[in-house]
Amino acid sequence: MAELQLENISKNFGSIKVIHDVSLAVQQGEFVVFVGPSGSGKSTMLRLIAGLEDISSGTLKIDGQVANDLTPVQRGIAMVFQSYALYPHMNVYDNMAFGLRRHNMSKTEADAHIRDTARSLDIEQYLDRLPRQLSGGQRQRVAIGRAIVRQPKLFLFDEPLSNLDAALRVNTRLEIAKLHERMPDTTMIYVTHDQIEAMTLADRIVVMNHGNIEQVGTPMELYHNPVNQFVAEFIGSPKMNIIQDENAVEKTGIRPEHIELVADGQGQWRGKVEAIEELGAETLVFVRLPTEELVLVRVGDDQSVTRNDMVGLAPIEDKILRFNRDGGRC
Amino acid sequence: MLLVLAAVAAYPLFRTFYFGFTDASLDMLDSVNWVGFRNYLEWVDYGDGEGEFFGLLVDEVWWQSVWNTLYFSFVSVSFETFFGLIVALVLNANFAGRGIVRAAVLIPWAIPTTVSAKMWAWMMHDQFGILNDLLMKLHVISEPIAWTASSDTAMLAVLMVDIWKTTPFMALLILAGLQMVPRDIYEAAKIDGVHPVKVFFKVTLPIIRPAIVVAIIFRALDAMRVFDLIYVLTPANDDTRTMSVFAREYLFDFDKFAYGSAASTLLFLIIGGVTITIFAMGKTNVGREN
Ligand SMILES: Nc1ncnc2c1ncn2[C@@H]1O[C@H](COP(=O)(O)OP(=O)(O)OP(=O)(O)O)[C@@H](O)[C@H]1O
Ligand SMILES: [Mg+2]
Repeated sequence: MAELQLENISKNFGSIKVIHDVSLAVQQGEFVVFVGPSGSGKSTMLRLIAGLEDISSGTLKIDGQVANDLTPVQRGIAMVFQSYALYPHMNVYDNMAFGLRRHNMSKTEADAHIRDTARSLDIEQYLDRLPRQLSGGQRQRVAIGRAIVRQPKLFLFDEPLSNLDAALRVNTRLEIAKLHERMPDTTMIYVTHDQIEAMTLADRIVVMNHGNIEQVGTPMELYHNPVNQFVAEFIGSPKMNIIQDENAVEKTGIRPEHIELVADGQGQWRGKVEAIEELGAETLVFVRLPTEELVLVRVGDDQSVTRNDMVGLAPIEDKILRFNRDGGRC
Repeated sequence: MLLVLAAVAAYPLFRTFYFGFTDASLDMLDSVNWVGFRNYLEWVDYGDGEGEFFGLLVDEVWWQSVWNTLYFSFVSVSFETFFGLIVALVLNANFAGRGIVRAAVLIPWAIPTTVSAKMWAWMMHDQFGILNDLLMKLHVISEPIAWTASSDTAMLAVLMVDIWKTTPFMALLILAGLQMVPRDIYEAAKIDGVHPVKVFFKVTLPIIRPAIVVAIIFRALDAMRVFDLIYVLTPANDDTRTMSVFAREYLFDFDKFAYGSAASTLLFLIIGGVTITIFAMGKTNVGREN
């Protein structure tokens, strides 16, 4: 039950401005993901919302109330840190219980609540262990459990999966999606630089760059209709191809999955196959144009190409995006 | 390797043990006679049914020295730990010029003990010392105090200087421990709205406790061997004479080398005993934690 409004938020560290005049509205129960390259200000945004950093200028409203000067507790937030931030000298139970505000819970209720949460996260058998006696994935679940028992209005995650291996990441990603389903009223804000996490988890994605918001939209909006070259290249994997026009003023953007390989002499461009990566379900073909640009084409496993072939490239016409010199759409 | 160790450590040690059982004196170290435990304890019969015990174990001055040493060690280490913790917490906070302050804090520790002892001896001088001058001007005292000579204040003076001198060392050891505490758990506590005082006692202190224990052990062992400060600041004073000073006086000043050797031996045994006790206690504590 938290609605969030950021109005012209800026943040300076000394004389360095790292967040520039950011405005954003988040609905109650929404799952919003902040993505962006390293140093783009994602964590800083999250910490401003959490109340771990002071807002230099602008207004933060939670449920319509100005929250700039509220403590994290008053804001009703819980946070999962990238490094988990578990208390190293306390066992799992105490980590979850420490600082748990019991004013609306009796001690036995709190105890039952902690045990229920632990059970739902499959960490019940570790309640007596210290964090260092747990695996990375288990620690991660403890960190999430510690946040859940606080019954937050606003659930914040800062790159919670970045310390896990690939397989565990996929699993935990699914668990977080399920968690959101189980807590439909809890607003969640999730920071990552992994665009797959963003695409799979988000109701809406906020793309950040250099302390600015580049675009806000649903995953599909960002994929099909990015407002500029930065977003176009950042969302989607493998990355969108950007090909310079002959006049060197405008650029053509086309995703690897939206190009067909055709016979030499056909299609819009021609080039030489420089490398082939066969991934099973799909094959990635790297084609070097005469202008030295490298174009990535994603084809099914039914197409056969060989290295050093000359091929034609035929983009799907209505998937082409045009960018001007500054990277804006045109 | 073992041979080198034997040569540099064991040999002098056992020479000292050995002299403790002889009648050695400084000018006749090569022609000594074995006297058994006479330096430690001896019953001297006066022949008329009466007699008396002599030796280190019944020497009141010696036991006074032992007591002085333990008292000095306990009080100085307690205060140094307390102040060291406070200084470390301050130094661990973020403020401008922290690097310089950290270096400056170490100055008292960096000055050689004999120099700082002399320095303080002047400051505490009963007639010309700045300390008396200051306290008189502030009307804390009405007449000059002979800090280092008066038996009421000699120990206080020694403690003051030692605490002044060694707190920085303690602070630095504790600071090293504080810097091991991950920053993010403070943020987690802040998110949970845990009161800073509770954070200190429930999070910071338990985590840095091993560092503090190690620092205390180091300091306690050091304090029990204290010599130069006391020898310079309050020479030949019953109220501050520690075991080391006692041994040194007999070894070199009173020409009773054997008696001094016996005292050195006991000093070694006492410190060894205390060390083992502390480590044993530390072990059980650590064991409980795991
Ligand atoms: N305490 C601080 N003092 C000074 N500058 C800071 C501070 N914290 C962050 N910054 C700067 O603010 C900018 C944004 O940092 P932030 O941590 O928000 O990036 P991020 O998007 O989370 O990056 P990453 O993906 O690497 O975590 C960076 O340029 C960083 O150097
Ligand atoms: Mg970050």
